[in-house]
Parts: sequence; structure tokens; C-alpha cells
Amino acid sequence: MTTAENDQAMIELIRVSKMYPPDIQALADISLRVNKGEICYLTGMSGAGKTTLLRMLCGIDIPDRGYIEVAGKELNKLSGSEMQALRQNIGVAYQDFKLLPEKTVAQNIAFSMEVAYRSRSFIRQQTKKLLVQLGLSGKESTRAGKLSRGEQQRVAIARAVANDPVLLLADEPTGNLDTETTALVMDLFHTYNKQGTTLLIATHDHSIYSYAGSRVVTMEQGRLLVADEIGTNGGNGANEANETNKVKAKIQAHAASPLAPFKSRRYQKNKRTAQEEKLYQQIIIKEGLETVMGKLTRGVEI
Amino acid sequence: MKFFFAVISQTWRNIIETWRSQLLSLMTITLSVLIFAFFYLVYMNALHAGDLLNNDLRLIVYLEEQPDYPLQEEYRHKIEKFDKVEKIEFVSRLEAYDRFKEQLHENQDVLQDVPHDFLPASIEIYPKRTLDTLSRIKLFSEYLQSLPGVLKVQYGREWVERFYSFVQLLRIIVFLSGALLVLTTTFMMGHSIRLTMLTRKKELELLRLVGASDNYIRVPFFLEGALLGAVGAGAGLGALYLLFSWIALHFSGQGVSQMFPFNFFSGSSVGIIILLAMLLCAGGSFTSTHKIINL
Repeated sequence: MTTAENDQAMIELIRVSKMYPPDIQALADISLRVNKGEICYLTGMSGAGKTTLLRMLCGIDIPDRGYIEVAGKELNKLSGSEMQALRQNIGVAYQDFKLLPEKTVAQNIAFSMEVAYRSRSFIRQQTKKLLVQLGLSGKESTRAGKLSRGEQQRVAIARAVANDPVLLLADEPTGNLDTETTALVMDLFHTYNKQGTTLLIATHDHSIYSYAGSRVVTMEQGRLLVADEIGTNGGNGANEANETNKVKAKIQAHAASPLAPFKSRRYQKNKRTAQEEKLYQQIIIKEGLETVMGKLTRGVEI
Repeated sequence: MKFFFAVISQTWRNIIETWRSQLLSLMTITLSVLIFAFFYLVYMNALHAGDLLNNDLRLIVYLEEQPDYPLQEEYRHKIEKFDKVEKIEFVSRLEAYDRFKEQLHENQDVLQDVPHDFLPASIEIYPKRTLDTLSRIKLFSEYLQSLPGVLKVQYGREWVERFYSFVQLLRIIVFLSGALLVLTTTFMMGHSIRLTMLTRKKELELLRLVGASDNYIRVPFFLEGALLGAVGAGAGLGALYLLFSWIALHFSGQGVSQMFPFNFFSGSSVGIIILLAMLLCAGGSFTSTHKIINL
């Protein structure tokens, strides 16, 4: 993938908020950009809003406010058929697996490929390949309900990646796995990432992101607490370190202000849509008001 | 084409997985089709028998006097004014005597001392054969009775009226069993598909999550309904054919069955009944899937 392609956003969230009744703030003013081909880890305690964020990205939940763009498509503007087409290109490994217990492992994995009208031979080969890669060889005819939690989790991951998605959303993908199997799953994720799949992984598992060399976004109570962080073993040599610092700075700048997404080429003046322009103006006004109010509170003369 | 193969294989899988729960629907459809087809078959054959009887159906109008040619023309004019007829035949007193004598065969000698003009002259009217001939014939006879110089009108009134009532009754039963067929197939099918969809709610939700289109979800249920309709109707008609063959085997060559041949449905009628059941079942499942998908 070229640098220009990498600069394009796969996920773009601008001031996204979601409130669940009666007054649970699941997401509060979340702004985040994940570039094509990037691996981004989403961390935070339970209830921080990671799952809600992933649900928004695959169109299961709708935000109360804010702008969401996935693979160049603004989610709240998509028609039913456009959303269906987008979902065929997004692989999702759910925290609760969403497997069909009465169906076999092979049938569960084939599910997403059948919907995309893949040929029988492709489905057979892909299923076999994934079962080998995830250490589930010989389990294809076993009913999913008969598997252990760890095995079910791997089947859910296999289903998510089976259709060669452009974006993979994984919610606690290693939650039930031992170290060895976690390594298998992470290897699979990296293989897909090398082929161009963008990964957004929500996890508690410190071990999988601390040495990963990828961006880490931390959430707390529906907010982005620590915007970005690059894993410590990401670079080899001065150039890579330099590049890492550049990315880090860019991401920090991006997360520091809600206006940051508008600094990208995609949202520069004259390139914004009417809705984006409206949102931009709203943010400008709100930022201005907040600055004035802050100064007034601190007794600074305006 | 890919969509077509995908939904066919999905339909097949659905049927394999849920055939036990669909068995009750299949039996209901079979029974409904059997009941409807049975009465419809009897009705069709009754109409056919009516047609055969119509061939011999005639009104005999006995006259006071033998009409001369101008009077015959006047009668003809008045009869045709009321209704179109196949044929009008004037029978003189002598012709009536000759016919009677012929019918007596070896007993003709009883007419030895009887005058040759003892029978009245008459007009034999053969009405045009239409579906409502039997219902109109009573009105026709009343009209003919009102004509001047008419002694009596004869047409086997009691028999025609009974037969007409029988056909009317059959028509009502066919209508009712048709309504039963429509209700049972659409409601039973709709209900059964609804239950299937509710039991597979998780699967349908997952299909949505992996990007399945409405048609990808809906069409297999629609096809399943149509297929159940076809199999149910086929089984119902098959059972009726077995019943028909059994009756034909045990009652062939006996009085009434010789007079009125009892036939099974033509190929096109069988096709139409099966198509109708398929459409009804597909309609029932379509309504259900539409409701559930839009929930």
C-alpha cells in the first residue's frame, strides 16, 4: 500500500456522542481517525465505551451527535443496500461471538462468505485455511455450541476475517485465549494487516499492544483519555523512530482538538460538504465560547 | 445468477433443517386442497352432466289447435322474441300419432280403433345450450304457457329444478371450500414461516450484521412457501386421484356412471390448482417475512 493510500482515512469520527437511557453517557465527543492499513488498539476499562464505539462503526448503533465515516462512506447517509454492501467489507469479531450454536464450525465461518456470494470452492478453501491458521483443524464438522469458549472465540475471529475485509473490528479478541493461541490470533491479524486490512482492536490485554508498535487509544467513561501512543518496539533505526515521532505528533495534535480532523486534506476548506461545513462552524463557535468562558472563569481580561 | 444459486441453496438448507415443523403446514395444505378439489371435481362433472342432459333438453308445448303456416310463423316469432333457441319443430296431430305408434313397437295393435288425430299438435323447442340454460328454462316455460292456444308446457320440470338446486348447492360448497383453501394456506403458511423466523431470530440478526440484503433473507422463505404449496397441492390432488381411481374401479359400468361419465381434471386444471396453491403459500410467507423484517 502506498503512503498516499495510507493517508486516507478508513475510520473518521468527529465529535461523536451517544447517550443510553436514562442518562448513561456511552460516548462523549469522540474524535478519532484511523488511516487505511493501520492497526489501532482501543483500550480502557469495562464500560469505557469501546464496544459502543465498535457498534457505531458497523452501523448497529446510531450516534446522537457527530460524524462517522467508514471506508469513505458517511454512515448516517447510507441507504439500506449501501450499508449492506459496506458490512460485507467489514469483519467484526464480537465480544459475545454471535455464533450459531446448532451450526457447525464450517457453517459458522462460511456465513459471511455466503452473503457475499463467494463460490463454494473459495468458501471451502478459505474455511480450511483459517481453521489451520487458528489451530482448529479437524473441528469443521463440530457444532459451535460444543466448543470451549476459547475455540468459539477463534471461530468468531475466523468468520470476521473470512471475507477478506477492508476493515476488521475486533472486540476483546483474545479475552478467552491462552498465550499461545493469542499469538496465533495476533499473527493472523498481522497477516491480514499486511494484505491491507485496517484493524481496530478493542482489548484489555496489555500484552498484545504494549509491544505491538501500533497506535493505542485509551478510553474512559466514554471519552478518549489518552489519545495515542506508539508501542515501544515499533521502530528499528533512526528513520523509523523519526517516522514514529511524526505519527505520534500528528495523532496527538489530532486528538488534542475537535478541529483536528479538519486539518486533514479531506476536510480542508472548499473540500468540505455542506454538512461537514456546518459541523465545522458549530465546532468553531463552541470552541470560541469555551475559550471565552474559560478566560472569564479564570478572571482573565478578554 | 449468484444470487439465484445462493437463495436456492439457502432454501434447501432451510427445508432440511425445518421439515419437521413444516409437516403440519404441509398436511393442512394437502387436506385443504383435497377438500376443495373434491367438490370442484364433483361440480365440474355435474356441469358436464348438465351439458349432456341439455343435449336432450326440450320444451314440448301442446296446442289446442293444429296451427297453419301463418300461425306457426307467429309462434316462431314470439318464441324467438323471448330467447334464442337452437331449433323449433312443429309436430302435427298425425306426426304425433306416428311417433307414438312407433314407440309402442309390438303393442301397436292397441291403437287399432283409435282415431289418428287423437293426440294434440305440439311445438318442440330446443333451447340454446348455455351455462344458465337450466335456470332460464323455468322462465321460458312460464312465458310459453302464457301464449294463446297453449294447452300445456312440458319439460321434466321436477327433474330440472332438482338438478339446478344440486348444481347451485355444489357452487356454494366449491366457493366455501375455496375460501377455506385460501384462508388455511395463507394463514397457516404465514404463521408457520413466522414461527420459523422467530426461532431463527439469532441467525437472521447475524445475516443482517454480515451484510445480507433484504432479498437474501426474504426470498428463501418465499421459495419455501411456494414449494410447500406445490408439494401440498400435488399431494392433495394425488390423494384425490387415488380416490377417483378407486371409485372408477369399483363403480364402472353401473347405471348412473354409464349415463354420466365422471372424469378427472385435465392437465391444465391440475396445473392451475397447483399454481394457485403455490401463489397463496408464497403470498402467506411473503406477508410474514415482510412483517418480521420490518420489525
